[in-house]
Amino acid sequence: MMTEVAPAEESERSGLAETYVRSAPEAIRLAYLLTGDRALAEDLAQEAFVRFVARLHYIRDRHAVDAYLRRTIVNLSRNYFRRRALERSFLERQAGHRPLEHVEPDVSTHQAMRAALLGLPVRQRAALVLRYYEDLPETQIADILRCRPSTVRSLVSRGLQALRQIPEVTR
Amino acid sequence: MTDQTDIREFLHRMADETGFAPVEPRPVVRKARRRLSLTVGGTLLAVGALVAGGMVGADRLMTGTQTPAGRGQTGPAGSPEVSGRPPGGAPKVDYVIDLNTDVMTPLPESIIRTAGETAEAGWPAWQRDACSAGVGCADARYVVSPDGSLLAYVGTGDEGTPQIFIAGIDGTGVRQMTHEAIGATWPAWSPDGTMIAYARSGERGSIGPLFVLDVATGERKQVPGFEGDAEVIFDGLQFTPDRASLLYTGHRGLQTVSIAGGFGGSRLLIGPGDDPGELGGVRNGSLSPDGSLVTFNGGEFGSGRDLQRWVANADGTGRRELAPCYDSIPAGTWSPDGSRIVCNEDVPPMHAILVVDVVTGHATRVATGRAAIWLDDHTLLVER
Repeated sequence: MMTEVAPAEESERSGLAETYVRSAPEAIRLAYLLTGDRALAEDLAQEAFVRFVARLHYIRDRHAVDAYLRRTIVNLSRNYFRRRALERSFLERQAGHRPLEHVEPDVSTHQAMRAALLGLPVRQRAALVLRYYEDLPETQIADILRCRPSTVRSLVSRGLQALRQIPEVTR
Repeated sequence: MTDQTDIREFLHRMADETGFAPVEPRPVVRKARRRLSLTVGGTLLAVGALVAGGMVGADRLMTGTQTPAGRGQTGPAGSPEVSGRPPGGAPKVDYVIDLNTDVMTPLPESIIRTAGETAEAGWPAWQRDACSAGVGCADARYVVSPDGSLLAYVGTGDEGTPQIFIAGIDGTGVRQMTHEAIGATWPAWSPDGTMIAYARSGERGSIGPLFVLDVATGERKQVPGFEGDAEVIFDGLQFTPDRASLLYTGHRGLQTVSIAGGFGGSRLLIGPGDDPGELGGVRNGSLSPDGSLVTFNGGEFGSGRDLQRWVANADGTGRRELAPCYDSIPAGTWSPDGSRIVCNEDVPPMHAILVVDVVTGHATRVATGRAAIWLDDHTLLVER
């Protein structure tokens, strides 16, 4: 049986589709910077959008899509890495050996930077990306990461310090 | 990669790997981006971000954030007063200041030569920028032995990496104590002066594991139960007064870890909460000499203030606000008599050192520098 769609509903759907088309590229770019995985980035962006739609009725300002997506993507990325760390820890315990050393790719500065960025703790990476890619002020980053602005400064500083330790970066 | 502009460029290039073009052209210079954000394309993003911020933290956005008090100003409303101006004419290198006379004496050249100070010359622009913004850039991280005769600090080792050194306070007997592959940081003396705890630096800026070093023999032992933590927010180490544990800031809050290990070796002292009145970002903790009090930074949700310094009973009860401090060296924060703390104020480019009375909360600017520790009840060692 076909369900009739009321004009208002149809308009809302059309608006959401438009919003998705407009917001998705930025959402995917942000997720990619946090995860380094294109497919995962698309999944996270889509998941964030689904959550946004599900919470549409609770969101006071429906134009706040970008900020909501940004926050959700950061949280989803953190959850993803947390879960992965738990899984890895479990597997290592099962296998009864310590983790293999991570080997840095010895290629160009860009690739070294990329590896260094993705090797940072999630919060440091998120702080750097939100600060230098999204150009957000410390107060907004603090809001997204659920910490104080002073902690954001500290995370950014530590992230920069870690990147500085990469030979290609300091050369 | 030399500055923040390069990092912006790198991030935008990396984001381009997705194949998705940005919605709007993204200039790499922050000021230019701000101008563009006023165009139609950027307005939704900017407004959306502000509105969404309001949804989740309206109280904080409505009241805004306040920076700590500046030179000659009083502290933010509701917080204890900060007063005074640091005396002028401070040496260009790390120095000792007598608080009774304001006499300032540079540290001996043998210490200055090996201390982290020398590494700063090679810092890239973005690191200097971060430091000028007041981010904790104390790099020698001096701590004094309980009898006041020896300093432990981070210096440039024979390997060219940051390592732990000790030296007599008069500059004699400078000795490199560690030879860790990537480096070592955050020394802390045990209460009996026989051991130094430190953190080994890991790859990509990670911290840990922790070690305890026998000063007499140079033998080191790893602290069990702390192998490093990717999420650790680490800003110093301090022995607990009973010598049994080390205090540090972990991602859960202020934590202790037993140097002997065993069941229950790790304990949460003060943890963060997310509700109004609870604390977020608890860090930079330091126990008083008798272990009864702890001072730390942490923002109270709903207060609208960025930077808050607290003192509380060691179990977290009885929390009171002190004058705002950005940072301190945990093992050197408390005066030996337990009546005051020393910390640095986040007001670039001055970087005043504050002495805060723990009972009244009143703070006085006493020196200029990035960090300071107590040598005795009226003398500070200041890192420039």
